[in-house]
Amino acid sequence: MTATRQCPARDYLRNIWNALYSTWEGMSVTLSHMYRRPITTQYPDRIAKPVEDRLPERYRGILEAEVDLCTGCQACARDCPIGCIDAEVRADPGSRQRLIHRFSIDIGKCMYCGLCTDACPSGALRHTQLFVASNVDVLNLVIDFVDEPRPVHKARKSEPAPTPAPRGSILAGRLARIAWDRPRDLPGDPRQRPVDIKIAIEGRDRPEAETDLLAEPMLPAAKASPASRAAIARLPRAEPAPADAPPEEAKQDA
Amino acid sequence: MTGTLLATGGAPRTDLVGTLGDWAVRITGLSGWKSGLAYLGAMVVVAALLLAFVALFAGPVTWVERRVAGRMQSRIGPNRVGPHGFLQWLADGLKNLLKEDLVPREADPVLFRLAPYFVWAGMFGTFAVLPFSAAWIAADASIGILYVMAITALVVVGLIMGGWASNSKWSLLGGMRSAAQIVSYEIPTALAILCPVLVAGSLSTQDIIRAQGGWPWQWIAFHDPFCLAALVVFFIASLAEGNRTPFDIPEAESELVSGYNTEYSGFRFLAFLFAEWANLWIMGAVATLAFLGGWQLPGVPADVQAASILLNVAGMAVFVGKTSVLVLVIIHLRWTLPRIRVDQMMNICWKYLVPISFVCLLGAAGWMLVARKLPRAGVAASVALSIAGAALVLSLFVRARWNRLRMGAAAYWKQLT
Repeated sequence: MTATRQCPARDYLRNIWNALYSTWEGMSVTLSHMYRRPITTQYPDRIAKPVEDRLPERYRGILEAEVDLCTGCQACARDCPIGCIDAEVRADPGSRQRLIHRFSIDIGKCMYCGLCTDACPSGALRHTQLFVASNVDVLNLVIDFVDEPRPVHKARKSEPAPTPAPRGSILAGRLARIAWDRPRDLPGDPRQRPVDIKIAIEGRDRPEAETDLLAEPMLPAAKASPASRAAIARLPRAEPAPADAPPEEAKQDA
Repeated sequence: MTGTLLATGGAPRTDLVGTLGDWAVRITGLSGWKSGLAYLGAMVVVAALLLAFVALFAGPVTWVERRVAGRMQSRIGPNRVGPHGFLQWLADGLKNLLKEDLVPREADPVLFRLAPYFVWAGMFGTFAVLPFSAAWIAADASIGILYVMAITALVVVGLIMGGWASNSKWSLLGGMRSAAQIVSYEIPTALAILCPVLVAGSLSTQDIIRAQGGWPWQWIAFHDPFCLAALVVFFIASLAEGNRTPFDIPEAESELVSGYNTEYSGFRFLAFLFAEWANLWIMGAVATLAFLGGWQLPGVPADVQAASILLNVAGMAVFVGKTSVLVLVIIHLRWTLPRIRVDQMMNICWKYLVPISFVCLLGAAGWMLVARKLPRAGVAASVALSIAGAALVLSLFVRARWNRLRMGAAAYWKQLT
């Protein structure tokens, strides 16, 4: 039919034909999906390969700091747009050696932008492919990478460049030390829990056990959630995390 | 109906209530007005059987629909409860039973509580005349099809009652829409189903099936082109009557939250959904009995089938099979077509379906006149039409396969893994 000629009867019949034909065509398209396999990934328990292994190489998961390689430049902390990296480097008064006193990352604040890893000159800070770190307490999401003050890394031309630890191994050891089901409250922790969160958590949980919780030190070998435990178990581990000696210390001694 | 139930003529009973009632009278030796009690008991037993059937259909079909929907969207669908997720319907039902049964403060409490019963009764009432096999029908009423059309109208009352009593604008709009839709679409439904009534010469559901045969060219759908068109019209209109997509504007989520059942929760909500799913069976069963040969087995006369239990079982298998295929088509359509607008819905009804169904009715009547003069031509046309119908179904599968190969799903999947 040309556009100029109007023919209602023809339009009417064409509408009927279009309705029937497009329904037939649409049904054949949906029916064709019955011949295909579903592409659903049944996370977390019915997958052929762990999701961590299927992630692309450049996936930006939870940050990991290998303090053995850290030069103490604090470029990462300066570049972080939200200030979730807390790196404290001070010179030892006696030996004039610069010591890393604290290197902790609040992964509850981190937005996984990757600016810090770009800034890191020695490759000490990097994204892993781990992403499971759910926790009952927001303060448990602060991951410390330094237990005791330790000297910064100095690159020398005479020494061969150190080989970095397998990606994710250090973070896995650190995550295994954090309880996922208990609020964290280290005595003398400079990061004080905000009052309202404290009341909310303790009022909801066991108010009578408050003193126990506060007095009890955080156990090194704490319960990890089943999902994160499974993720951690699959990772190449540099050192096993014993109850009394964290992996970083053992490495330093050796 | 009472007359047919209590009549004890020479002809063998072909309905379940009558057969059971006769048997109970013989066992108990009741006489006079007391024999009515036996028939009352038979009615209760048959109703319980039907209720069990409806529940065992409406529950699992939700799982079937969700699995099919999943596959059509390249998902898996529910697969956690029981083998392949089959017990999902039990889990859903249990969840709904445990939910709070809430009546909104501003709602009309009496009507609000009453509405699900109307919807449910309107749905369940039709099962009285829906056959399963030659001798297996609750009541072989002589007005069967008329009764189905009449009692499904009760659903409208329930829907608009629920919409009004909820005292919520979404519910009211949904109720109004469903009333407008169901009342409009009853006209093409009734006109389309008049074609088989015309061909069979009876309103009784069993008589309509007896007028057909076991082979596809003996079905009323392929009696003549007008009856085939009437089947299409009936199918579309019954989709609209059952508030199924693409005609589910009474519960259009994007506009009305959930339509007339927005304010319902717990078991009352379940009653609405139960009726909606059971309605799938009614749509499929009515189309099967009126157009697709019902329980007829190829080469077996209807009275022979009625006398044998084994043949009755075979007939029921055929009927359930045909109805299930139609239910799958309804599900398939739901996950294929988008929801249409209100004005489009009214357009389709009044400008297309109603005139077409009138043409079908007149055409079928004219065809019958001609076919009486030329019986061989009528049979030839029926065979040609049934071959065309089979070709259409086959073409869908061929086209689907072609679609799948064209998209290269295998390559796509390979790349993912």
